Amino acid sequence: MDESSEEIIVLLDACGRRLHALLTKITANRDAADELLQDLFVRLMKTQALNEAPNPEAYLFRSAINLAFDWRKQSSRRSEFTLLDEDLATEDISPLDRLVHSETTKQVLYAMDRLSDSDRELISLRYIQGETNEWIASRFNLSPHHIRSRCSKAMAKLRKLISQAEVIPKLRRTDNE
Amino acid sequence: MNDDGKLFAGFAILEPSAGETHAAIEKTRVAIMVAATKTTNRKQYPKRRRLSLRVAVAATLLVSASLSWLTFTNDRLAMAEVIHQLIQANSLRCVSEGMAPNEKWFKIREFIYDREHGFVDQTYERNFVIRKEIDDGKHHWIQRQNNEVVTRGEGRDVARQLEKLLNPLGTDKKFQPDPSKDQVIDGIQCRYFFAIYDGNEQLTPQRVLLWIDDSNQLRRVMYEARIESKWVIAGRTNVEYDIDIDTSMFKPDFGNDAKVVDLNHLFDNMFPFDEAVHSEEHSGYILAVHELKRLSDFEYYLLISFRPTEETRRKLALSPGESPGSLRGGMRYEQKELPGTSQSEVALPLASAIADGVQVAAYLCNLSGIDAERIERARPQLVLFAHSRLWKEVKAISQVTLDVPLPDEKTPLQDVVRSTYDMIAMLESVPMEELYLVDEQEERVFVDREHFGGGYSETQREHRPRPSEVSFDTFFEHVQTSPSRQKKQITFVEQE
Repeated sequence: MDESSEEIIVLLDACGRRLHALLTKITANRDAADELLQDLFVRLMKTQALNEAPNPEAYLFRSAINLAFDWRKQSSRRSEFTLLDEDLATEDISPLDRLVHSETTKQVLYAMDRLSDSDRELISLRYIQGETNEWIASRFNLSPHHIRSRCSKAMAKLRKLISQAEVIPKLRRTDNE
Repeated sequence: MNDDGKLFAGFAILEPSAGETHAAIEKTRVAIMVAATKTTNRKQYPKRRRLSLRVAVAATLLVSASLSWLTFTNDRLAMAEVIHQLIQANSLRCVSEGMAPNEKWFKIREFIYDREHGFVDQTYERNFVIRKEIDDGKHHWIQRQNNEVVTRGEGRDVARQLEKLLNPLGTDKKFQPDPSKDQVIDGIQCRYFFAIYDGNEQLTPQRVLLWIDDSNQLRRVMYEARIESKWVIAGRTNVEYDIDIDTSMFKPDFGNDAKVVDLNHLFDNMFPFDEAVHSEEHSGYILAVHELKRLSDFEYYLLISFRPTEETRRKLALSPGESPGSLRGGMRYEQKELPGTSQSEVALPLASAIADGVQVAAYLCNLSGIDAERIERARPQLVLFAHSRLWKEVKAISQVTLDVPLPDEKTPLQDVVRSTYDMIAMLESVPMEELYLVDEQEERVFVDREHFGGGYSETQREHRPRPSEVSFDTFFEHVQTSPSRQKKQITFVEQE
């Protein structure tokens, strides 16, 4: 392997765990997350973009988030994927909570598809991945205060999008069996 | 929990396990290495940029970066170099032994190689051979203890077989020299090298030690595990060169009772796509529906195979055991005209088998939701994951929706579950790359073991039993009561 390939491996060792968790949460699909992680690093091998980026780590996370949301768009072009049951199979929460979480998670991701790239990036890192303002600030060469403020604005936009999507007519249900 | 926390609470459930992440990272590492061999002519990063990149990464994860730093210095030894040197020998014998708690050595594996004739690889348990592999360069036979089926596949790469035996770390980490631990083995002065795998939440840290003679030939490998802050010996492999070999051992004579199964064409014969109910080509792969049966107005059974086209096979030039790509059943979700209402078709996997690059999977597809109407055509939604070597030409991940008319005649659920169970049971005697039933309600975890020098690796199967591990009655009961099949077809009527 040449030296630059070894550097890519260093990046994988340093950031792979976080990136894989983030890709899994955004795609809600373990197989897709595995493939996208490979896709991300193989693309890095073939481009000089990492070399030009002011902060390679920030570039890496930005690329991963864009890749995952692109995958979501492609997946939903003809119809929409929902979270697979096995992804939600855990005994830590009640079935009702599981259902609520599943529905809420879908709504959040659906709304995030409609946010700007920068807002989506911040929400992915701050709320989906659970990174601190300080962690994000250090990667994006901004102050934690600035990140906090931008996260707050991005969240307001996200909540607005979610509320707009909630058009549930008053319905009465009857079983068909 | 505040409101923001509640909104994102569901994502915590999706957090992958340490094992899943570890596996994904290792797969990515391999993909990078494969890509690296193809990009040797591209521009290098300017030196200043390389430095800043390294500093940025080192600041984020010091431990990981410091381990990888080992690969940047010069006097390291890659396992591939060791293996390359090893297979230049005319003949050799590797004997792997484990260490019992009473500190006595016991034989685990014996690998005999003859440059002219091939290799024989035998796995032992309590001094009995439980698995014998013979490879004459053209074919590879595997015989297992208490199994009359002997499989025959394509000849394997001896270097890859040896790497599996000698390098249980399975990583590309280079071995670091430590002259203070050089020693004499069988009267020959040997240099000492070591590599450490720092472990994860599931695996304890491990260390592999190598002794190489002045001709750069491997003489001994030791395997150690880190237990309670101490390195404890787990096993060793000793290598002898230019040994006397009875060449008849390379002839595949397994006795009169043995039944030889040709693995290379097993699935091609069992599931020929030219006899399929429906077949179509996508991104260099063939998807074929071999069985399509209506179970009710809202449910059908699907047996499907997935394989690369002959052209794709040639392009990929797969190594034995290497996956050509894969197919997964998904969930189809259709928005109805009424806002906020929908239907979903869930593909409940029943079984999966993979051999010789052909994947076969059985599904129960169940429609539920608002105003669900009798299914007239099967439109299973599948996700195709192409091999990374094809990504320049085709998408890495494609969504494929088949469209095949369903028969009117209804088949009882028990019949299709029975035929699936029997199919997997029949294949159980043949070593497969993947073979299992899918049972969401099976709580036991099954473990597959693969022996290597100094120990064995384990793969866990959750909700993935084999017919020898679950009775048909239990499996059928679990399928009947599967939560994925309990979804209702619902009709909504607008309130006055």
